[in-house]
Amino acid sequence: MKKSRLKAIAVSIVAIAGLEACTSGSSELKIDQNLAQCLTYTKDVNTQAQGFNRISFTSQFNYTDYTVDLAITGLQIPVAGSSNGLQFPKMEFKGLPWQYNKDGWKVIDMENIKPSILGMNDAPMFKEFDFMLLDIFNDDQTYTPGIIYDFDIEIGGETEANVVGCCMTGKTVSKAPDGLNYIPEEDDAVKDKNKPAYWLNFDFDSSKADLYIYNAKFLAAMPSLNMVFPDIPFVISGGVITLDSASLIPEYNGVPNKGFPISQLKGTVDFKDGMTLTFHCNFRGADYVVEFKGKY
Amino acid sequence: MKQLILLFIATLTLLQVNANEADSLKDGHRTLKALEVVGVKQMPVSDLAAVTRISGGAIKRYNVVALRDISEMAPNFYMPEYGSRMTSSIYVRGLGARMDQPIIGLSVDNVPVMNKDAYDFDVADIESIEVLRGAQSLLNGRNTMGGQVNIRTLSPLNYSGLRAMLSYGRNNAIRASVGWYHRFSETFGTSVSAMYDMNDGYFRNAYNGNKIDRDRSGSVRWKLCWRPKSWVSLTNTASGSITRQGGYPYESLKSGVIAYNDTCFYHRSTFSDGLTVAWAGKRVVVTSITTAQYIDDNMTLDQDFLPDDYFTLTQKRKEWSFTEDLFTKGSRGNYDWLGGVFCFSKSGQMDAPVHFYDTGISQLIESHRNEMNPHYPIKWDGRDFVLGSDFRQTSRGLALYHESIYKYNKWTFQAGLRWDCEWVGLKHHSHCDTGYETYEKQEDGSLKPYGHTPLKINDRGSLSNNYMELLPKIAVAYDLADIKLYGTISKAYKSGGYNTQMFSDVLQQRIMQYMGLSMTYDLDEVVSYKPEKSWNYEAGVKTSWFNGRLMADLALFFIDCRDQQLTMFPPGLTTGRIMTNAGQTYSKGVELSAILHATNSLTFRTSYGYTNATFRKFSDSKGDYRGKRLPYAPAQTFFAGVNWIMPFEIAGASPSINLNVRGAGDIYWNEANTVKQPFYALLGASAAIEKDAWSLRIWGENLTSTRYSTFYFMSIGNEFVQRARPWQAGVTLRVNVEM
Repeated sequence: MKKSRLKAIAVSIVAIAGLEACTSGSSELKIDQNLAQCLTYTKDVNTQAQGFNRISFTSQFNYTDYTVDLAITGLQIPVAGSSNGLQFPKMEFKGLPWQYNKDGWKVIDMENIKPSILGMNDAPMFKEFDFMLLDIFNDDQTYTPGIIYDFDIEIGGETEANVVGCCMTGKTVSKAPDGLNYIPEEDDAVKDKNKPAYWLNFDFDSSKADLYIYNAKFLAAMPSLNMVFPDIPFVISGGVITLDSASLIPEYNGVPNKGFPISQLKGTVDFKDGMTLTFHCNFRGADYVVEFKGKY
Repeated sequence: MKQLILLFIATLTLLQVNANEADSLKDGHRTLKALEVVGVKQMPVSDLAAVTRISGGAIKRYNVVALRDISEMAPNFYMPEYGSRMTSSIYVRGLGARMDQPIIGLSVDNVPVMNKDAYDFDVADIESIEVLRGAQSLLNGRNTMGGQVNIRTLSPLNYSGLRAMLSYGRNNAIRASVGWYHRFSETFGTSVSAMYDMNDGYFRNAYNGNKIDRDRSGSVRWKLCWRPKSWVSLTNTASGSITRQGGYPYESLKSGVIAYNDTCFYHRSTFSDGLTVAWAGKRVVVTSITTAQYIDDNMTLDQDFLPDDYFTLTQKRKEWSFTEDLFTKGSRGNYDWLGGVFCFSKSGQMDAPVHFYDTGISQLIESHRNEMNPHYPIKWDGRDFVLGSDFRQTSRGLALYHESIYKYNKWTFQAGLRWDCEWVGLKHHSHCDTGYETYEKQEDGSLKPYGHTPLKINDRGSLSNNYMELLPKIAVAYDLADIKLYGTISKAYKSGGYNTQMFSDVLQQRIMQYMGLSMTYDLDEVVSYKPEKSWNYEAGVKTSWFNGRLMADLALFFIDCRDQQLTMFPPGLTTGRIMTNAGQTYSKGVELSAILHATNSLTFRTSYGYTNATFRKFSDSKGDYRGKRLPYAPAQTFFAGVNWIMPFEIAGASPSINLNVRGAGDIYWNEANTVKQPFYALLGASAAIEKDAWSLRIWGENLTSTRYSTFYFMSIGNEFVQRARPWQAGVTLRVNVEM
């Protein structure tokens, strides 16, 4: 999988107000933040078992020594051959270094770190730990943080899993050439856990993003696939990311498929209103227009 | 141990002994009656139900050595030939099962056969077969939704001597049995019987010219009967069998021939032992039936049934079962009762690999995948690989049951309740070690390696579930001497469990995940299935005319079946079928049976069953089947036979002639009812001469060589049927030397 370094997103609003708590009794300034129920996609790299669940973060950012105590609750690794995944109790990281990037994101970028887990001697190893948090304070005083995270985890020296979030869900409308629409989110035959979800992986060096569509399904008869739209150029203006690609070749498990080219891809992303996206998909000579509107 | 039995009796016994008991008391105990000795659980009112009994001469006339031989003789009882002795599916009143749990219980000399895959076997010296139709769950528990069949073999306390049988028929069909029965005293006897059955097969594999369905099987039975006191009896029956069968003569509907290249066979070894102990106290009879059973079988199939190398399936299994049924019976005046406890334990291991070969890899995997992405085609590592699956299955159950019967003048009232609970567990292991190479097609058409994807799957897991059912029954009967009317309402169920055959589909989906598929089966959902339940309503009349010369029965029934266990195409996916509880069905019908002894030498026997079994609710991703008939179960069954003992002798022997017709149909082969087997009829006949010590019979079956199919299925888009056996004829010699 292409690995990207998370860097700054230029936004006009940077706020640290509206947060949980502020501790300043000592000479240090610490602020607590709870980030609940982030839609997370997890995949066992070796067995290909995958699944969605929601994880929560509790953090205490120390603005004096630029360390953070971060706890992750609800992390679950899917286990092939089992309906239940491997569920971890609360994972706690102490004193992780963080820094602001030039656009106000708090960035944690670590390798080979282990959390402490109560009652567990051999905690999983986070071989890659990338976490970005942008505090967004809206005009109506609501707080809509931007969160992006990407972990590579090794468990017991064997299991390797990739954990990414936050994913977006919403409504995907696929318009067939005959005018009929197909909406997988409204298809009773598709269970909630198998509904489509979208995740963007930004490379700010090249100003290109990879769009991951999990459980992509544009036709009722189409099997649900995980696909990646790679290298979508983007620009950032006024706190909004704009995606624009004239044509691209989607990939399935790292293999391009020229048989289903994507064209006229356009979209906008911001952490308050989510993403709107449209693109054309050519399926065996028929042109399908797909529209997605969703939120984090 | 005796104290425990007495304690148990004390908790169940509620009433004093009937002061008017006809049996005398001896040493504080009364004498066991005949049926009590053999551990019969049924109460006298059990006769007021749909029952077919076949015994004595009928067993000899119709060459009955296995359950299949009485198909259609009992109305709405149908047991077709599906390809091997493993797939012994039985359909009763529209209900049936092709796999996993059976719809009907089976016992031989009180030993309940715990695995449906072992229902098809030969038994020497059958004394009687009793087919109880309708729900029998009150006394027999799980998997008796359609009924219960009890087979009894000859007892050495009733016969002492040597019995032998030798039969030879078309296609080198040889059947031989010998039984030695010895009664050491009035209270102690033993018997040993053995049976051998073989034939060279009826169908030829066009691929290699060989007969495809050869069959060799042998069995041994040892029976020990001992009555140390008039109030105590012990019977132990131990049996073992070996079956070596080719099998699965599946004909392609398209080509009209049977032609496949890979091996197909079914091998089975079984052992069982059942100990029945009956003890008559002052007030009650306590009976204990303890059994142990073992099955070791191997089914190997050319799963595509084509001359091409697609895939093969093997299913090797070893399974132990233990049962204990402890019950007491008593009566007081007009009140009879029976109560007991039943428990069982079943555990087994199974190895079920699917082996993919060159054509299967190229046609089912590579071609589909490369059609989707021709610019990056794949090529498999090697031209064969194995999808491995092995399992450990356990199930345990406990049941308490009670039945009360009260007679008031001509009325009989019956009520009973069974509490049945069961725990099932499955440990599974799916594995494969293979892979494929992805290439990038160049402009000049050459292929450049793009990447290799190893497929190392080693999934393990366990599933468990438990079920509890309350199974009530009420019945009422009115006795007008020669006319008996009855009505019953009862609940029955078929056990839940796990369909291990689905694991190969699960494993195939796991492989597709490596190619980009995201959705996968919810394992518990696609593999497990809940119990199937039914409410059964029946009314009937049993009549006797002309001093018992004509016995005629009529039964009407209605079955409301919920959570029916069905295989279906899951919604939204395009791979395979899953076993699920998806349906509700109604089954209603009528059954008629009659036996007329017109004279002492002329007997007519007939039975007719009609069933209208339809889906009330059932749909999958392929369609909605409401109103369609249930597949595989015949709408009608019919049997008619006449036996005439001629009024003269030949060399001191009595000649006789028997003519019979049996038929079944229409049988729909799929839920959509688009393919069916119309009603068919088979003519049989025999001529015999009999003396006390021997008999010689010439017989024929399906004499008009009616061509019909007994089974239909689809595999990778191809349609197959199993054709029934053509006409058969032979001669049977029986020798009976009493000592």
